[in-house]
Amino acid sequence: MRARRQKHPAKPPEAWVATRLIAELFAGYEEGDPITVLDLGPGNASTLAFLSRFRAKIVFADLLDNPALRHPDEDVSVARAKEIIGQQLAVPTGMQFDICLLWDYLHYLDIPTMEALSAVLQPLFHNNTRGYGFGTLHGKKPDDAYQYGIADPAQLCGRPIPDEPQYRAHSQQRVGDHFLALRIARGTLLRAGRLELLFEAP
Amino acid sequence: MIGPTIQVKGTITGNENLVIEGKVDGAVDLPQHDLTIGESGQVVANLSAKTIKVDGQVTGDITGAEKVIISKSGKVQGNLVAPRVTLEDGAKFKGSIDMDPGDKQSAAPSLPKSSAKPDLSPREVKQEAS
Repeated sequence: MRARRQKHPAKPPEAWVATRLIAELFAGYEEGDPITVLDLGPGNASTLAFLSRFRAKIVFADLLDNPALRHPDEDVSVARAKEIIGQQLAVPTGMQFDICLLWDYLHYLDIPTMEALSAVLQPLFHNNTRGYGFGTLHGKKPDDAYQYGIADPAQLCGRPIPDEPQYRAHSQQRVGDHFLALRIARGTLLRAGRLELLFEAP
Repeated sequence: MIGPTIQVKGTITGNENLVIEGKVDGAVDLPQHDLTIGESGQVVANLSAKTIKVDGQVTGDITGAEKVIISKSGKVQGNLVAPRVTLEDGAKFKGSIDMDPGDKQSAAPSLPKSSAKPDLSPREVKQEAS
């Protein structure tokens, strides 16, 4: 069935991007199945509407809502960063996630903070956890600055980011070396200088 | 209605629909009825009702027996439990959403049934009118 854009009653998204990996991210999950999803971004109308087809439990962490993570202090230790991230995620006790939506968030973090995030997330994932995020081409910041959500299995939709944090454009090698909670399984090229990455449990 | 200049500290219960445009600090419990947090409403409380619509600001847990709607002007930080939850474009939300309230939380992960791709073809998604 051809993908259709969702209709929204208020201001619509400004960007639409075709994706090949979202369908793979949710492979094996059928409508009505239970699923737990961690989204590192703020609540997203499109993503929530997409996940409504499942019996979903979702945490929207809004990771960079915390100023200490948005503008990391060089003197903050990894231990302190872990504490801040744990408080920001506020995951219910005992919850583990089937899916983690990383979006651009790894590129908004410096290396120590990325390592801290990896350490905090690791116990929240199980052997079949999958993740989705964006990579960069040739270490360059993408041409667009959008906050993305899932419109349907074949499309992402983006809205402008208010006050975009510093973008560090980490290479896949650097992500692989410092974000150990999940490993990059495959990637495909998107438009505007982006890669989309599918992550799997290591 | 709790008007925009009214401040309440404590627990509000009742057997009718309620619109809150003022400040509430405590808890609101309206089983079988509708609760609306108006645009000027500022609530630091746990909310429970049949349907809950947030046009203003809420910090606390929200339980809707039927549905919860956070409108484009709404701002919520907390945990939502309801079989149907809608975020309008522009709504601000941070926290957890449980759209499977009949299933008790367990540490056991849900495993994909098979590696075969499911039919995730787009379908009409019901959106609440603003």
